[in-house]
Amino acid sequence: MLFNSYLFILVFLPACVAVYLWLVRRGRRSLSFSWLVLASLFFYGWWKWSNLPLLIGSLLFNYAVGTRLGKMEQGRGARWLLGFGVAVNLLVLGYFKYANFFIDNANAVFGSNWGALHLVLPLGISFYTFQEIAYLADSYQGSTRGYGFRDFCLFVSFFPQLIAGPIVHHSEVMPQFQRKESVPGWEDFAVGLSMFAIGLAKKVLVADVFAGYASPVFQTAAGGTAPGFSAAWAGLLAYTMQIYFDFSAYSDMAIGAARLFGIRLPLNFNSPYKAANIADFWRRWHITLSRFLRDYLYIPLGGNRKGPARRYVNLMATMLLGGLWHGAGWTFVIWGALHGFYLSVFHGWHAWRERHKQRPGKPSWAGTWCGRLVTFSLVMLAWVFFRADSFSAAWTMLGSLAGLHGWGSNVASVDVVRALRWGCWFLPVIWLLPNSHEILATYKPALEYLKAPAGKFVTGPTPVWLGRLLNWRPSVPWALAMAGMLVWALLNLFRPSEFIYWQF
Amino acid sequence: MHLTARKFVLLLLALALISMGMVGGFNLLVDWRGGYPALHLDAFEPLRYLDHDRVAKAEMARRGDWQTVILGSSRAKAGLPARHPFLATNRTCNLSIDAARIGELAAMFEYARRHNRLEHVLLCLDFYMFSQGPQWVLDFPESRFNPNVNLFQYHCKALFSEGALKQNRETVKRWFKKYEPSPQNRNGFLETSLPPGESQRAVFDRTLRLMGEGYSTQVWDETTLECLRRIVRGCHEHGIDLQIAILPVHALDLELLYGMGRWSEFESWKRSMLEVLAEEGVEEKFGLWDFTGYAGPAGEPVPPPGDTTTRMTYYFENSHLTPVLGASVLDAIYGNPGAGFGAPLTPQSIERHLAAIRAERAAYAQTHAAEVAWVQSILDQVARPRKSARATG
Repeated sequence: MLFNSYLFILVFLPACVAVYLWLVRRGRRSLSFSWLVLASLFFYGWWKWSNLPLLIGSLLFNYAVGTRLGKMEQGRGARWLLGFGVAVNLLVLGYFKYANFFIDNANAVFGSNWGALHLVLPLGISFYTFQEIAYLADSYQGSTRGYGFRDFCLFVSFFPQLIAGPIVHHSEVMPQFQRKESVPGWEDFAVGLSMFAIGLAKKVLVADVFAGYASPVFQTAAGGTAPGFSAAWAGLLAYTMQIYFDFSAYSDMAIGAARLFGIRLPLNFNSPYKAANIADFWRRWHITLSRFLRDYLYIPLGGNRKGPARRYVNLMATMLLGGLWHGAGWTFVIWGALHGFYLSVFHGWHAWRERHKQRPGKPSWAGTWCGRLVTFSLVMLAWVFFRADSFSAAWTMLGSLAGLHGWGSNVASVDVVRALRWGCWFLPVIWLLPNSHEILATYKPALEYLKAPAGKFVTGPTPVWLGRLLNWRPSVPWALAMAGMLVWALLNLFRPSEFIYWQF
Repeated sequence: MHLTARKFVLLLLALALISMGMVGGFNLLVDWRGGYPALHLDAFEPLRYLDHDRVAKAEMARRGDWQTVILGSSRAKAGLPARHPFLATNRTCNLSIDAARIGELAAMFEYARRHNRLEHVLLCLDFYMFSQGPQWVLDFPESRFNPNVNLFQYHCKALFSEGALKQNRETVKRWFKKYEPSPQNRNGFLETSLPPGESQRAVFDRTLRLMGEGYSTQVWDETTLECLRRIVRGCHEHGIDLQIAILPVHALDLELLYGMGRWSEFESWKRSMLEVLAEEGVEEKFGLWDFTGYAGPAGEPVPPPGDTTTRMTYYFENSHLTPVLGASVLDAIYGNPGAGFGAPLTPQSIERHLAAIRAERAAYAQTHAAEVAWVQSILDQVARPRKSARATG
């Protein structure tokens, strides 16, 4: 069931909230959470019922291992059990996500002829597997004691975050499940509905429109025909906007839907194209994945504690695996490697400046914008590998972007001028307008709300007056704006398309 | 203007519900596709069934009072005259769709048969309907022809989508203007013409290029004949008269096929269809008509370059016939079979018929060498290598 479908918006979500509220109002707090678990499993099964046993099996296994780990003293036995738990999770993920990738590469290297397995990637497996691995690691540390099975199930399967994140840490939501007071309140509904409406509008009215420009260009490249220079740039700019608004939309809708149940999810997306450097980008893009990779991969590998050389190796390894997490293909590995390279160069440059006593002060306005534009361009270039269907298609696109395949547009279904115009119109939107979390900051839509300095409503490049003007509060104009956005998006919901991150 | 959170939520939901309710109510009452006959306003009736996509054709097929249905591609949609005595005296619905696949036509037939007491089916076929690849294309899966269509999504789209709102608004505007669609624009038929000031040769050139590129990658898939068999069997079992027509195309369209070396494939396709009829034991009962060839209307001269006023009588371009020629097709099938246009294919006549077309082609190539060279030069520019090729001629 897609978030951006009539079935979810008009039937599933209202019904789910109604029953939940009915139970909460009758003081059946415990039962209300059980209802949420059932609804979440139904939501998951709706896509493909045959994958439901896999999710349930994963829940049972990880809860059992986590509980056992929580009761053991740290030592060799606990380490073995942790290793076993993590290995089983990775094996299941590896089987469904990487088996065919491995077979293809083995065939290419050894000239063998192993047939591909007929596997369909279970929805959300990358997300819930990481969440459960983190849970096991924390159980080993002894920080998960006292969680019941129902709360664990809800922590993993809570439908707003089950399919594509945020990758939630148990310490963020478990305490919310264990609260006894009666939530949600009207403020939760007001904030949740507004976030959901903003997210839906971003997806339906912006991301899907850009997809219409981006997809034909990348499909042309995948079909072996090189797009012309203008078509290639139009397609890449459109994809850069599509993935931004698509992921931003999903994150808003997830946070908004969760808030309707009185649950706050962590911030997952914070205007990443406003980043003034690549490290800042990764603090803003898919924040919970970056946090997971940092806490459970980069730091255990040694982080920056084992010397500069090892630091860069760790960075590259983390980003390569991060790339591979997104999809079983060399294009994703290259995408991860590119970002690893960017990060290494950035940290290397900083280290060099520190060694030469050039500790950077507050960057100038021009310096910040220069950094922002360079970061945006590098990220945009890396999206070529992220979006391309194959390595050869990515090279074709890069050749087209360099003007090696002619200058005009040879993708008949794409209006290049319109695509470029749309893309350029949205650059000020992504750079200057406050994001949805800043707009609703007063009401803390996510766990880490964006706290601006006193007297300001926004940080970063957004003008203060704009931040003040777009400061959400329960009022008639905002009700009109949110209702208008919701209705406009619903009227354009006739062709639901999957969120990009649902495929991971 | 500040509200409590409660009032904010109630106001937001009320505004959204009222807006959606108004949109849904308007769409339901105007109902441009005719999907809600029990609830919609009859005043808009003459303005319904004017659309041509697959979703609209399914609603048309569902109406329940059709005696005759026409199944085919855009050729049958624009090229058959609604005013022809046979069609006009039978309640006829033209279910022809753009870029039709035979798999779609089989599903459409089955759907139309279940919802109507059909007496006649005119199946207008072309070679390219039997190509490899997905049998349901464009919006077919979203139409009621698809037995597994998600009806909840379908009705939401019909009642709450911006597209439906625009179409219904257009219908109301037409109603205010007292627009009266001509018979050729109703019930699935399409009235079309070339834009004034456009050279017909330029249109030919454009279409030949487009089709040459498309045809060059298409591969005939013999398994698609099973879809034809389903239609034949369905008509036989339910006592429906079935006439199958291979619609006429201009000689230059046939030259595309010839130039790509697919002529023997084309002939095999015709033989295979006849075999299907024979295997089902209906080769005498149902007619299989071939209107392709190089003689007669097919060889109509294309106006010279730069001529923007002369219009051909029988063709819009190489692939699409005009209703004038369509009337001759219908005359041959339903009126006067001995008129000399088109040939009913039988096991006894087919080889003679195919040999005659080959002879016509040889004569045409001699008398129209420049036109044949034109098609060949287009093919040299646009034809792409095919994934796999069957026997070539």
